[in-house]
Amino acid sequence: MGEFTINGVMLRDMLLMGASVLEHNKASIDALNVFPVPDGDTGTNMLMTMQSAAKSIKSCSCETVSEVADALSNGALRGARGNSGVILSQIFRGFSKALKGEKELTAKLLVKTFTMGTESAYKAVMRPKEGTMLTVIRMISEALIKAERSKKTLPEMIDVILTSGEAALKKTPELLPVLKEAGVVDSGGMGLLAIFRGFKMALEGEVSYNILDTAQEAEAAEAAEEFSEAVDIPDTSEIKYGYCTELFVINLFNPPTDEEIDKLREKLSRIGDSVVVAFDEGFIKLHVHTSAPGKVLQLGLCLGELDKIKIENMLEQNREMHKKLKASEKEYAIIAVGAGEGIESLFKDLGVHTVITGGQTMNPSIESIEKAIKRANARNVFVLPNNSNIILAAQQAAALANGRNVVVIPTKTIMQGISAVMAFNNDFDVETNTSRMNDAMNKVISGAVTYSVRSTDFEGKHINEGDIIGILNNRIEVVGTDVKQVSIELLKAMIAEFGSDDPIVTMLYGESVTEDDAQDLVADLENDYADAEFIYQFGGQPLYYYYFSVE
Amino acid sequence: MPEVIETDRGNITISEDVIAMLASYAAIENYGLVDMKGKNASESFFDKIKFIGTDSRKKGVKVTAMEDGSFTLDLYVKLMYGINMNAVAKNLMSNVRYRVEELAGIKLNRVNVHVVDVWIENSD
Repeated sequence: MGEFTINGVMLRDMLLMGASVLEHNKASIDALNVFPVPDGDTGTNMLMTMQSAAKSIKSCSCETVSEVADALSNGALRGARGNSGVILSQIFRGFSKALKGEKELTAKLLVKTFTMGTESAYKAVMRPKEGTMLTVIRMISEALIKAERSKKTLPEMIDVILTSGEAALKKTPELLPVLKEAGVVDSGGMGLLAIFRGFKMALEGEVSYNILDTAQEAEAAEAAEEFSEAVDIPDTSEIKYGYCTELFVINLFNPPTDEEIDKLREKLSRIGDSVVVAFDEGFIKLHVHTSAPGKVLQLGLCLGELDKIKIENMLEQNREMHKKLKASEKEYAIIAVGAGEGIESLFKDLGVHTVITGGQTMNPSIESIEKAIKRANARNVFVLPNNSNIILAAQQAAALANGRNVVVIPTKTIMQGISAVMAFNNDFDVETNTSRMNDAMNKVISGAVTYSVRSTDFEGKHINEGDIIGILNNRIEVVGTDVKQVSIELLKAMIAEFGSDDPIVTMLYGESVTEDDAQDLVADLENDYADAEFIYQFGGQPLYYYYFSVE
Repeated sequence: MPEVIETDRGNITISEDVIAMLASYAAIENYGLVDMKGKNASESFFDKIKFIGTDSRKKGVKVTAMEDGSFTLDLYVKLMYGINMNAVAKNLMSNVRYRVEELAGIKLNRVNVHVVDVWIENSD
């Protein structure tokens, strides 16, 4: 067999798939947008441009890669929207120039295509900005040139596009400070990669809409280790089509027309999903998830000879995954809700399995709690809502987690949550642990210092917007204007309520408080309470200056 | 007339030249634009000498103060051939407006884009 090449029909499929991957990722690309005007529509603009290109490709009766690339370039030019769309259209313009007059795309030609796409993109701006999609396309081209020297095949080169593109994308925050500040990668570069991911999907029949494939795989691997492989595996009953069916039809009776290919695709979608039909000179590749693999074979037989048939039982694969999961199931897991890096790591250090980000102003959804429960992969899961507004959601999530014993300890504050976790012991049974955690929670007197977001009257106290307020067990106890003063008064009230003069006082200081402030506060209090023990630690929580507990 | 921003500790004045420089810089960053043009055939000779400075940093930008204290900018640009001019001009308007308003703290009335030249590659 000669060199693997890509013909016009295949290139068409690749580009259309690119548009579809972009569409799937539009919202997440929009969410990344910070540059140059923070209006958040890079994904939308690129998609409009790409859709215009897709429309132009679909409506042309292109046969050669040259014609397809022309249609692509013209469609993108007409539909260009926004900066990212204009750059994209310019890249495609370079593509079409490189492919002018060519029938098929070879590995060598792919390198030329990307090189000219890059050149064309850089030409149209006086001061090219690095750290944008320009950088991504340029670094891909450079990687392709290297790959050509090491005589890589065309499919390998498509992989090079994705891996080098990903690497370039990850570099964008280093090149553009505004991205680094916002903690994101470049949105245009991400969109570009989405399109290229579609190339691979169309070529290999692999269906995955994740742009950052390897990155996510690595993350997933890490997560799997941490969560003992407990990712979201659907229930076996949720799988609609049981057989992943893939085959090649070779020695075709007649070379199929585009319409016939489209019709075939349609037939397959009627009996399954994740359909891929790719036609190249002399063979057709079929891929479908279906419950009737026999029909797929039959369809193939009508066109030519069958080759490289692969039918996998996805139901059995799923069952095996569930079995594996079951085998690694733990006895206990604890899930806590909290915000702030200090608090998160504190919970983790205490043995909490998952910390769901949430708190006063951002209550986690029932779904996110349910997911965490499932992922915990334990027979018994304790949930600590750590906020009175989240208890109900936690209870509802617990009700949804069938097959697992979920116990919600109704902690109303972070401090109650910490005490509850400390009372937990892996060697005790569920009942003992439940009662120990509840007891510990009830013994704690919790306090919090924050500021008022509006003027109000509360139990005869007038509070102005911006006033500092001290909260004792969810009741406003102290109002003032100085964080330290309010903190001292609040702690005095808490110690008085505790009713003994040798309490253990724990403080978690928030993101707007420094360690020196906390130390200063402790120094003042130690004068008044010689027998008390004071512990302070970084909590990093937003909105709250301090969380206190007295026990 | 330079823009005057009054504060209780003193006044800040931003000259029209500076506004033109900011606009020019922002425009140059814009994708699809290959040059700012000082010359424009349709302008009268008098208009021409008014805004063709020898200073290239504000090339191709005309700043007009409006009665309500805002400014109108006219950008004279050369674009790349083979690019959607409409899309580029719209990007130019929004990018220049954003940068100038953000950096100088002034209000822009209109940003007009005049495409006065196009760059055609020899190989095209």
